[in-house]
Amino acid sequence: MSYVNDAIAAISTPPGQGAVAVLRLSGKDALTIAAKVFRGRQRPAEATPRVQNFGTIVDNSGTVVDQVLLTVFRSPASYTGEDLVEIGCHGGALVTRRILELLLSAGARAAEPGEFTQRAFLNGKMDLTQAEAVMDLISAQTSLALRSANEQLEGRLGGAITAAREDLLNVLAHVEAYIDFPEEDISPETGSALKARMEKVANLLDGLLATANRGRILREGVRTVICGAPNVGKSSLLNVLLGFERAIVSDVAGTTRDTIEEAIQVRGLPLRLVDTAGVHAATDAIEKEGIERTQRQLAGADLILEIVDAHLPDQTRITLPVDSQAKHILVLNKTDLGLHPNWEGTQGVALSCTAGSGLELLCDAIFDLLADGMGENSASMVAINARHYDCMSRARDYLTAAMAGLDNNDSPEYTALEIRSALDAIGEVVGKVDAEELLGVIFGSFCIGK
Amino acid sequence: MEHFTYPKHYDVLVVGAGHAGIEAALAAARLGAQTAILTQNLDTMGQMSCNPAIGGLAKGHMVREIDALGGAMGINADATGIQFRILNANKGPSVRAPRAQCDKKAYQFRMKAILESTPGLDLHQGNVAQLIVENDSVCGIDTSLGMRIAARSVIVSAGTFMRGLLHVGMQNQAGGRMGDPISTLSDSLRALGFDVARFKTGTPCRLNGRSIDFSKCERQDGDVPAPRFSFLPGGLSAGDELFTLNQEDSDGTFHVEQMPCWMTYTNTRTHDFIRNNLDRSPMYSGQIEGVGPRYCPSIEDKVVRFAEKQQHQVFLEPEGRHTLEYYVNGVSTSLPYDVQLNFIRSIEGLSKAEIIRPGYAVEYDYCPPTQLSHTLETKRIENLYFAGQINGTSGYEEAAAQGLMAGANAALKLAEKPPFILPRSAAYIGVMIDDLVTKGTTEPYRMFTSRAEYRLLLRQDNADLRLTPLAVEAGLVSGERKAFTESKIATLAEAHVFTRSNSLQETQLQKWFRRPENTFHDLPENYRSAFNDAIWQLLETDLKYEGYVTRQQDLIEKASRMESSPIPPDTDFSSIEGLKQEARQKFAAISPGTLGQASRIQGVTPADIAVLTIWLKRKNGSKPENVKES
Repeated sequence: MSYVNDAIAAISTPPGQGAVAVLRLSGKDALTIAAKVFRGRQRPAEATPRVQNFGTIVDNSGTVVDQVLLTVFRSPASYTGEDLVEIGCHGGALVTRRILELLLSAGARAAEPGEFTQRAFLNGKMDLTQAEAVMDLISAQTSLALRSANEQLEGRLGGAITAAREDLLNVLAHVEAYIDFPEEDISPETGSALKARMEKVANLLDGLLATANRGRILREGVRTVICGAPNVGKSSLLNVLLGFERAIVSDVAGTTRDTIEEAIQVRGLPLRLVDTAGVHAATDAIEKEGIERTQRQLAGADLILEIVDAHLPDQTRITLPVDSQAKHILVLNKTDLGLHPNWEGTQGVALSCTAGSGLELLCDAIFDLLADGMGENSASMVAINARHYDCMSRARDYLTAAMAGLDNNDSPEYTALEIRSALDAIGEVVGKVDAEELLGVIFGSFCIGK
Repeated sequence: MEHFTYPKHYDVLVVGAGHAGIEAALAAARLGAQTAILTQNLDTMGQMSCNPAIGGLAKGHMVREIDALGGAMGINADATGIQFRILNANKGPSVRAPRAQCDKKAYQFRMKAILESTPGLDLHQGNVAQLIVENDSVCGIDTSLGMRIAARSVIVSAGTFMRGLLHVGMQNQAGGRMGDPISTLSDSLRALGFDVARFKTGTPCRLNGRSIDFSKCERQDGDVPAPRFSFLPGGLSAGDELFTLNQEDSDGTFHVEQMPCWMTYTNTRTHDFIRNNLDRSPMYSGQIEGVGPRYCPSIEDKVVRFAEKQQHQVFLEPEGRHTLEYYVNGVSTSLPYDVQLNFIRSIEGLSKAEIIRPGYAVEYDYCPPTQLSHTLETKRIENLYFAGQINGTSGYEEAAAQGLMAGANAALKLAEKPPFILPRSAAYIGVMIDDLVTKGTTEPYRMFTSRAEYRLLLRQDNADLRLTPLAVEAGLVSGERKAFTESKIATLAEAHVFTRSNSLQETQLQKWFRRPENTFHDLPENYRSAFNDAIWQLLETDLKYEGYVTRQQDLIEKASRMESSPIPPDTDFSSIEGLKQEARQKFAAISPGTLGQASRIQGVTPADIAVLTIWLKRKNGSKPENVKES
């Protein structure tokens, strides 16, 4: 942990589903970082402290991620004593996580356990008795964090990150040997051989970064959106999957006006089910809002279960957002009433919510599409969390810069700086590299001794 | 024993007159301290006991830092060098480094003349028997001839002489260097409670140049023009003329008649000789207990550890202009004499070589440097300082740098002035001393550029800009060097203004310089003549690498809060709840001065630092305000 006032960010509400969630951002650059992702009537730097500001969080392309209430606390009148921004967003693991990612990519660092509290203490926001508690808290949290880190590090995740670190250390040893021992009869790799070595590490990092999504799915569940035209049985499917009446089910089209989330497990795979308002041209305002929300839900989905009433000849189909990464399953419902010939030969799962038939087929389809090897053996359940992701994506960026420097024939000490920065970033997960460790690798690999 | 006490009482007494002792004594004297050197032999002051070269990667950087601080090593190498080169000339400005082969005798005798003529500095020949300590504070020494020298501060820079043991094959003999007796000072240190350990180092044999067939070797020449170490023009005139081999014109042009070095290689026959006789090696038979340096292995180590290599480089380096003695760089060894002769004669160009001095290994006592504070004063005994190999380092440059810092701090403390400590972000010297006192060392410590986390800022060409102003403030530098550097800094600032207010090809000069293809050589004459080449070169480097410089400066700023958070010296770490046992022990042993230093101690985790930070904050917060501690 570094004792500096660089900006840190974290989700402050417990993980899981709630009506609202709160993210906190604290540090010297908190207001600047918030300004990069927040669009509202006032910029965070100009906002009146302690007053809620309505606005939106947008991503790099300007797409709205969520509507939020942003509150600015000016140093020293804040929880941490630093400039602090609280962002109240719609509860939901996906939205909060996405906002956290945006804050991290805007320049914040993922906070260590207890770091907000620690800063509050260090900035004199707490008295002596509270300090005692904080110290206990921090030592407990760090030892807990250490324990959990160690447990994780014993597994394949640790192995993979440690391997990336070792490979990168070897890359650095070649560069440093080339710098510090110009007169030795040694041949540290340079140029394309060194580049190949770097690419190997880059691939390793990319592989690890790719597991971030799997990690989120394991922790937070597959974000599953049930959608379709009004009255095709979306809520019925939700209820059948849940095994109890959750949504209001009626024959009046458009009864479900809000999204509803529930968690279930399919063959051990966690799913967060979202039932949405029907897709049709809405007239009343509340329903219109519901439909817009459906579009947002679709944009963030991992899995879309699109239902059609298959005993009818045709139906309004959903339009997937262009950049959607979601898996898609077409559910042909109401087959107990007969399958209309128009649907014959259509790829999909035929079932009947009212008759309760075909559910096993749907579960198989979901598992096949999303399990991605998970669940069969725990060793492949390796996944990185948000903090790891933050560290490793920074490492990956530095590595990209190092490779560019190599292509550009930059002098090796500049490439070395990028590699060291990458190692430092990985070091936040698996331990920093110090000069002695580096020299050990150099002297172990090369015969130095003029 | 009855004592004669020398009538003059000194402020600072330096024990040992190698590269550390010399700079220590000169720095103390420069600061106005009444200073004395005590050495076993006045004729071996400043002797280059191993290779005949000064500088190289990171070491050359330190020589320039020593020069910027007013030290003698740079000018002395300039005056007595017989071959000068810039290493890594094809790489970036921060990792280029000057190196010189020197005439060993000229180097040491010119240095002796400088020491003799330095005001406020006395020389004594004698062997120290023990330190005199009263109330945990040093007050002088006794020599083996029963003379007491009283001094308010003592700096020990005894090199490899403390209980030195020389090995050639299975034969060994006591000695600090071949031909020189040992010192028993470490017994006195041990009795005072210091932790004393053993290191080992080695040196190769020396050959008579008459017996070398240079036609079978590759020739290596110096750079033309020869690059100097010293920033100060006119420095060469200050020494003894007989031993000042190189001349400087009034316009600063440097004249050197350079001598070549030569290269040859070992071969499989050489390696066989060595391999077949490992049972007669004190290294491999277990006679040597001290730990040797990994970066300077003996030839027997190289042959064993890198068995797949068919050949190793051998450099033949002249030891001086008026001697035929050659140093055989790359084949440091402690094998028996007959094996040395056989393997040397198996090398191309050396088939008739005459060994005039054998290679040998030397084991010696050192005091693990975590027993020191950043001023190099010992934590155990007040006003006692250690510098050089006694601190577990290796190398002339590392020793000289420590000597300068110990001498300066000893004198400053006596004058009740603030200590002179260089941060890691300001100098290689700062990196080295912080490493030593914070982490200790498990092998003879040598400086590498990779040890400096702010390497891109610590260039050899800006050492004066970085350090001379600090040295002026501390009183270490005055007069000509002060005026020269201040004028250079002012001119460089003017040049920066010039590049902001002038343009070329419709581009502001500052931006023009940032383009990689543009150099100051491409400037039109009316611009070029505004400043000299040295200023243009510095400016160009500043502008071209500005992005990296800013990045490193950001890191320094980030670290500064921890570096400037003091930990009181009397802190009882055992009373801090929540610290791991290992951290408690390490903190107690090293007593870090700042949170930054604490975080660099090996085995200390971020959690330990968090606990310590909070404990300190609470301690400070609970102090009544506006009440001074008595």
